[in-house]
Amino acid sequence: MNEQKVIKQFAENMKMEFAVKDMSVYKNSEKLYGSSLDSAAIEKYLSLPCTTVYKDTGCKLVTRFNVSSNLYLMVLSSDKPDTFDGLEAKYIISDIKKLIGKLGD
Amino acid sequence: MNVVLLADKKFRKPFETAVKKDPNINLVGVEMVLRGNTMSRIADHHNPHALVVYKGVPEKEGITEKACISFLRMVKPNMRIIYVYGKVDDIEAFMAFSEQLISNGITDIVTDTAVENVIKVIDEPMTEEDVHTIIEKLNAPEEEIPHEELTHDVLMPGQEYEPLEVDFPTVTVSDKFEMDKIVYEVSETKESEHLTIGVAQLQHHNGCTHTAMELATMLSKNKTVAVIMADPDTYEALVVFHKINPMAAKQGLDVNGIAVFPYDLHSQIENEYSVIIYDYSYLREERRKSFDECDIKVMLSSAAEWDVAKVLNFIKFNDEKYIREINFLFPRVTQSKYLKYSKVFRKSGINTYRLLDSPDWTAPVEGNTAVYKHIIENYNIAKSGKPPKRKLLKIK
Repeated sequence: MNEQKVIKQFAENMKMEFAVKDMSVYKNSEKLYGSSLDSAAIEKYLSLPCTTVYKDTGCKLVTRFNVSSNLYLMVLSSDKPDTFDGLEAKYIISDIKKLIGKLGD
Repeated sequence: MNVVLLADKKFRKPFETAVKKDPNINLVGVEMVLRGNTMSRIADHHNPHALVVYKGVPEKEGITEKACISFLRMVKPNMRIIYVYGKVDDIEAFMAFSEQLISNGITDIVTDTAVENVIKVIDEPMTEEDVHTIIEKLNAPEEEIPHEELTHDVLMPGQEYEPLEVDFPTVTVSDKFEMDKIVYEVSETKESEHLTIGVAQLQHHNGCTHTAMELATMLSKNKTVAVIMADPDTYEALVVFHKINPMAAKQGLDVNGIAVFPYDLHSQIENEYSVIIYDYSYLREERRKSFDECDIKVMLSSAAEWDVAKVLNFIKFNDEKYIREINFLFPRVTQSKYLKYSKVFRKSGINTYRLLDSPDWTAPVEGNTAVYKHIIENYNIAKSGKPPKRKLLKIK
């Protein structure tokens, strides 16, 4: 299965399992999937030291990972502020790790 | 007892005067800057019984206070080090720091800068227990904390930042990303009738006025905006460039649709526009209070090797909470170099953005507009009904 398909399937699972409304994935600063991010947001997210959840009226979970020499940036967005609270975020991270495995195959 | 003072020059005179009155203390040397040879001067040349170190000694040639103390503990284990921490603003930072000192065998930690107290500690050494008593006192609840203030300072679980430790070695280290660690950044949208944005710069010629005008251009599309030039020379240069008599421009200008005023008028116009952008240029002490009072603070900083020390010192010598309220903008820097720096800043909760080359302020490039949108994203700015009725000299 190609990369785009794997990521699309992952995004659909996220939307089904959690209250995720949108997902963006960038590979080496180029958009691979989902809606576009502005350059300031990309640089901000590339500077993060760890997975970060931004909460206001909604929330965003931002993380990044490497598969071989490629750097992936992933942003999951939700309209609800508590979508990525507590264990939910940990479940999502664990799913992302499975995705990394698939992308590496 | 032979004593050496290692402190910023402002502490020298009061310290010298005070030790003269104490027959037990013989001041054998004063070092006011930490540089490559300072440690050998202290250990080999002065060789004192005790070294008094005031927090915030100016550092040069990449030698840090921490490195100096560790080195001296190693080569001169019997030399007492008396550390003058000064007033404790951040208890957690103090606790972490004092633990470090204690683990280095240093228990003489003075928590104010009153020289009499420093002298007292030289004469009467402190113990680890004394330090813990200080911490206990600091942690004791204050009498009454207004509820509103408390809620602002309460952090969400996982919202803690690492202590501010931005120095030259750390900005060159690339940090590993921790996917399993989750940090929460909570923000709330604030309603603003009259938003004030302060734009200043830490070094000259970083494009402070240009940035203020770009911000004004972006915001003026659906808000009434005024730029106040806090530096009279900048305002006068703009007026003179357009061949206008400075006397005739005292009531303000309309520059390509942006209302621009001299600083003298700020109190008159601050309620007339939905956004006021203060262009402070190089941040001078007399404008510091005004900058601090702005709802949004923007600081342009150069990331050049010869300039970055100024940014690091500004961060180091200011309160952590205050530093986190400032948006540091770096112009003229490559993305790879910027990311190296911003990783360290963001780890400590400091907001940084990179500005792109944008030669025409009347049409800022998309990347800069994105930065400005991020900076104001937590504010819901009210739309002013009618534009202010001011007759401004028009410049096109």
